[in-house]
Amino acid sequence: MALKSENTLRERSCATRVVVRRRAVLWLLAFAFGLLACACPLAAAPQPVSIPLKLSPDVIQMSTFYNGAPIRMEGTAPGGSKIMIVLRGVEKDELFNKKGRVGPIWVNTDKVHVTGTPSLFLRFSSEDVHTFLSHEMIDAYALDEASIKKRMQIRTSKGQPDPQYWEILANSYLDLKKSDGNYRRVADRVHVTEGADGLTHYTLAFNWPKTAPPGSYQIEVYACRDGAIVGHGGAVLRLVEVGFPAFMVNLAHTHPYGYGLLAVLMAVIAGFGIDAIASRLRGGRRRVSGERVPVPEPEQVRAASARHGGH
Amino acid sequence: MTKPVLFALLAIAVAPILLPIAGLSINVGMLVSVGALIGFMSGLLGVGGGFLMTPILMMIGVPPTVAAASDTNAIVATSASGVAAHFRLKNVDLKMGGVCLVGGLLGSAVGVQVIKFLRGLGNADLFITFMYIVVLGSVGSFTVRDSLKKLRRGVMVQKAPRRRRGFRILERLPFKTEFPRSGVEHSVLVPFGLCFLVGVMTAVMGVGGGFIMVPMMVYLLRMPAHVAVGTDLFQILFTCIGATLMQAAANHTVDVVLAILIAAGSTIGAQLGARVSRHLRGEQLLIVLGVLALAVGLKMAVGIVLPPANLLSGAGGHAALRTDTHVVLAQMWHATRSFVWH
Repeated sequence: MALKSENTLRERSCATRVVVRRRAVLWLLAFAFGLLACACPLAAAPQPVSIPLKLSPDVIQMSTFYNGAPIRMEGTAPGGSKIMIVLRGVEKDELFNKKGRVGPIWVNTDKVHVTGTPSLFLRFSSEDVHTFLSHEMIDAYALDEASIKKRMQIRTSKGQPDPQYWEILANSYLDLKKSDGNYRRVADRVHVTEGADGLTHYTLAFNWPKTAPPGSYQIEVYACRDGAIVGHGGAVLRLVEVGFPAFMVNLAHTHPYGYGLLAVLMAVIAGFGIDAIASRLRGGRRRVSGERVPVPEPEQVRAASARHGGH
Repeated sequence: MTKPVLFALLAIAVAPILLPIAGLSINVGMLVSVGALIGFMSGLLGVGGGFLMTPILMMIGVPPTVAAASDTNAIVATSASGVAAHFRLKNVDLKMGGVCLVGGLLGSAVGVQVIKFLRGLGNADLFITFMYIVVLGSVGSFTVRDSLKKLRRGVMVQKAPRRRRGFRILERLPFKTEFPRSGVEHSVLVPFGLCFLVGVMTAVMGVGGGFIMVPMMVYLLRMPAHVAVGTDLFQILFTCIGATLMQAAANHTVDVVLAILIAAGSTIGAQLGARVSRHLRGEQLLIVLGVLALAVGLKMAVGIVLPPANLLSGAGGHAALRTDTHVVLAQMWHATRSFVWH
């Protein structure tokens, strides 16, 4: 009797396991199907092919008299493509003061940290991006400010802001970047021609902004057709200081006290030098502030007055 | 000046130069012009103009920390030759300068703690803004009113200072010592305490002490104006040397190229300003100075009432620097910056 009940229990346990396994498989299938459904717009698009991007120069040397540099990007893409070139600076943690209203006045009321956004975002295209690329694709590849906003992480001194406050801060951040000129979009700038080889030839030439700081910049080129990205290429542009600027930067970081002493010495020598030149150009001795001006004697004043016929 | 020299100067002025530490390229002419503008104001009105230099540099793209540190280094350049010249003319009271230097440094250290405390309460920026408005407003209105009164009278009449009760208390303090170069006798505690207070105010406000230091030396310590200016410059030189060294060591933000170009412009501008000032009466200059102070105060008052263009602003500038003990020295020059008397 006991044996029979034991067998029955074993059978039931086996049956339960089978049901659990089947359910797990079903859940997994459902999950996979869901993932596929979510990725549908991307999955439907053809897999982008790698396209060449020739960057000249790929290293910009910043010497003493650096004044920006002409830069040229060119390459080929599948025929009939529209081209978009995106330049991104490195992502870094940025700290801001946030102004708020206290009574009738506006003062700094909070500190805001923003991460997950490029320091520079420049987008050049052969025509208006929205005419050849869907919003989903723009969003998937973070090709505009709205998609950058979705990846943005914001932290205040009190932690994570609530959604409404987050929205205000994110919009303020993007406005600031646009007004600084660090986030820009330029349509009709990439020159495109259809070659006899059946490929689209693209070129982009512009002057690299002289105010951009040294560092690495990611350059991405996208070939788009029928609302999808059909080709993708990338390169890294490096801005490096060379010569005297490089020497100074190196000295400032490796021997900070030595650099500080040098800065003081150079300033003192320059101060005396500039002063001497200025005095020489004026043809006389420099009058220092607070110097006592010799007061003429009354006789001298009277004599001078008489010479000029005055009183 | 010969034509080749002029062409060479023009070529240099339009040439771009890479500021190594700031990491950006700017026209030499632009930097020299900025320095010259501030220098001109300094020569004309007798104010440091430091409260304008850092914001202007930031406006042309120099990072705030580099702007503040390099500005300090530029003061080393401009004040060095000034101190030497004053020293030759026996206008530097080393004893008084030393006491003031120590008092000012300690005061600024205390001021940093005040700022930290206020920041903890969350009201530091509001407090600082109000202090600016009150100080600039009162200094500006007093200067304008006083100068207008003197202008109406037609001549500058130096009134003998009345002995007030406060002065008598100062005279009774212990540790009396003679300051022969200034020709005065005070308790060491008097210059120390006054410079300490200016140091506190400077650390809290960041700028603005230049309006106070020399008048304080003249009116409260009864030092001759030329010795007050020389002594003040002496103090500036040392605080700025210290600040430059500490900035270089702690933050790597001193840009020597930037500093020298600003100093070049500043020296030339100051001499031009001094020339122009000789054609104006003292009261007229003081009215211009007073109006400038009132205008800055008014701009700040309006600025805090009107809604800002953007809710966010960079937090790397002076506000951030104030909490850094190292950098308080950099702020100190603003307080000790000479009130040049022509």
